[in-house]
Amino acid sequence: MDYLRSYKNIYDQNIILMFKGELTFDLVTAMIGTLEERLEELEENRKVKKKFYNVATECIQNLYYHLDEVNAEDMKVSSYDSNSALIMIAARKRFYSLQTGNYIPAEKTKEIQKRLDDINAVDADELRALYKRVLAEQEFSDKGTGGLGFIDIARKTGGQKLRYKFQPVTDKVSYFTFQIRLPRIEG
Amino acid sequence: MEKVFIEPTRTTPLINFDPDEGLLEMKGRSSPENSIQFYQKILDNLDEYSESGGPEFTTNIAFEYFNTSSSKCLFDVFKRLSKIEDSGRKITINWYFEEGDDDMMEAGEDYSDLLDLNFNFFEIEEEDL
Repeated sequence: MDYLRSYKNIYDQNIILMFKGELTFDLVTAMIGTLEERLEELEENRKVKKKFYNVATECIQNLYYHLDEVNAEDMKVSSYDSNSALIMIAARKRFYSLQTGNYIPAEKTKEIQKRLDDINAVDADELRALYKRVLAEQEFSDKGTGGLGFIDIARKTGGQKLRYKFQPVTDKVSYFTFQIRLPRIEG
Repeated sequence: MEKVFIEPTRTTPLINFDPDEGLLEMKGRSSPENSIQFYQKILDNLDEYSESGGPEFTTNIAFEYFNTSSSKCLFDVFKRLSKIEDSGRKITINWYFEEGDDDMMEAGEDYSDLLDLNFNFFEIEEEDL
């Protein structure tokens, strides 16, 4: 057992925050608070600091709202595991990265993929127009989310494409990995 | 109509609604667990104001951050303000944002544009936000 080695691996990858497990709202708030303190130490550019805080908050909250959608029985695991999120935030030299992983119902992958592809296909002006259209027209979901999360993240990370991957786990469940990057040097 | 004052928290903004003064202030961060529930009280008050409020209404907004769920709720707040304006009252909307925070400035522009409302924009220093 060489836990020091594990720790060093994590350290070498410049990971500033890592989490695996079920999320509660208080945990999300605490995590964002911790991230903010780390950014305060790490990032000199106030604009970059604020942008990353903003997109990370949106991203982690988004994850929190959608974790309970997988039926544990479909996976033959406990509901704790089916509802578990994986979050990894790294501060690299040139960019910040936030990666999340969670199980989703397989039937949802097409819809999410289409939304992400549509967002990745447009430029900044079109993205702003899309945001305004959804803001004005789309009703709240029963979870109180407004369909704006991904668009907002794409807008604020300015031209960085949203990276994602879907991996089938069973017939009914897929694993969704999502990654955003924010350049550290203001372009 | 009653005054409403809500102290800010890590995830909810300061709210000050004073119907006698014709004033609504919102300030800080907004990423509550349930945005709809949080903003409902403000929406109800604005509805009431639109029925029986005074001739002038001022809104001062100085957000450091709001999430997309709050963004939709704010859209509803501005819809109410638009309704108050349509009823013949004079409304003033002051949108404060931190120096260099283009995202926050654009957010204000988007509301102003979508609802055809006139916003006054003020770029201010961090410590004044």
